[in-house]
Amino acid sequence: MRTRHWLLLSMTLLLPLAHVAAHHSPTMLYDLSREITVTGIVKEYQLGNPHMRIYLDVETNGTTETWLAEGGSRTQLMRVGWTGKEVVPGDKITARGHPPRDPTAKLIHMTHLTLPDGTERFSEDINYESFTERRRRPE
Amino acid sequence: MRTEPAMNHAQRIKSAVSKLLVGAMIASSFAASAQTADPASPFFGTWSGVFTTQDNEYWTLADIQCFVGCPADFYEGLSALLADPANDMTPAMALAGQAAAAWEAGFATILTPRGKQVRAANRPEDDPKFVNCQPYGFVREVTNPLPLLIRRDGDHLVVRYEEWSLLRNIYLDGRAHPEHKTPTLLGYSVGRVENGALIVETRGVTPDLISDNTLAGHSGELTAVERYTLHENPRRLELSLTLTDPVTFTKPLVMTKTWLYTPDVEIVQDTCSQQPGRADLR
Repeated sequence: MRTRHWLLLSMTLLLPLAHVAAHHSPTMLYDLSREITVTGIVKEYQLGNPHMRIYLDVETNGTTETWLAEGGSRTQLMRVGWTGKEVVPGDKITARGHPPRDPTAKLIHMTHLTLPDGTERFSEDINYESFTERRRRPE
Repeated sequence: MRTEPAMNHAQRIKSAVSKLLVGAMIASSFAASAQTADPASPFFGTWSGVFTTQDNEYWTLADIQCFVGCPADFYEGLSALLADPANDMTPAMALAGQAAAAWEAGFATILTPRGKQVRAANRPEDDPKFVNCQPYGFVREVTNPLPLLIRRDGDHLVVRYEEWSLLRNIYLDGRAHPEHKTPTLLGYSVGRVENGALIVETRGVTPDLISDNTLAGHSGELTAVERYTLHENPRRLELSLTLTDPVTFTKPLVMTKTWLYTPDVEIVQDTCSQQPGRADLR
């Protein structure tokens, strides 16, 4: 969990920077200082541009709402082995990541996806954690 | 005195054919030589930014902060803060915050009233290019985080961007910009190689967002000059992009972006996510 906390710390520190943008500015849409998880049933999965998206039905207090879990960009995820067949409609998944700034939006910036077999995969483009101590170029 | 025997008809034909073949070989050799002498050839190939090559030790935090391209002032300011040993005990992201604040203060002074108005109105969450399958405008495409491939096709370079699978022509035959041309997403680009730098001037670009980290926009009066230079250790392509737009800026805005030479990276065909956007999820 240490890793996770360090990642969250990095993301928290990113927050004040209007400057800091991921591929499509998650900081603009999402509160990167907080983390939520959303579990539901996959309705649709698209490994496309601008970002990978999974629509899922989430049951809350007896009503079903459709959420959108947004991950990394298509071609970057393909380079690390994503195929677009990770989940299919009907699968039960859990998305872990950041909530939207708009509290009424049914959105999550999904940094991690738990597949039906229980495997959790990093589902974003950039691992910011690996950069926090890369201050200078090698001699 | 010995004299060469006169050639018969068959020998004369054989000799002429031989000369023609030798001539063709020499011409071919010259053509190959001319091809290798193409001043644009060092720029050919596939180039990838920090986004695709995160593990390369060349990159620093400043590079990842600028993986969609960013104002040169910010990049240089943050790089200087990170390089200063006096800041070693300060968290790197706090230094990024300092650099961002310093940049913001300077940037505000170069926006015209119209530029400020456009910037204030830019809301990425409402931008159809953000939520749907619509390619970026010129500046965002040129500085996008995904790999690109540069090759020559006759009188022009073709830049194939992985982002949105867009193709762009850069004419190198010395032509001028057309006087009247309908503005387009990527505009009209003419270029030249000068002292080893590839310099490209683009006009006729439809108004659009400059970047989603500055939130600034530009008008149809934009003139963009890209200056690409090559460097070694590692082999890389550095872009200095100067944006001149009297409607938006009181002085030019300079953006920067770097790619590494990655001959093993293949450009992946981009495919859209066709969906209704986020409005239906509210």
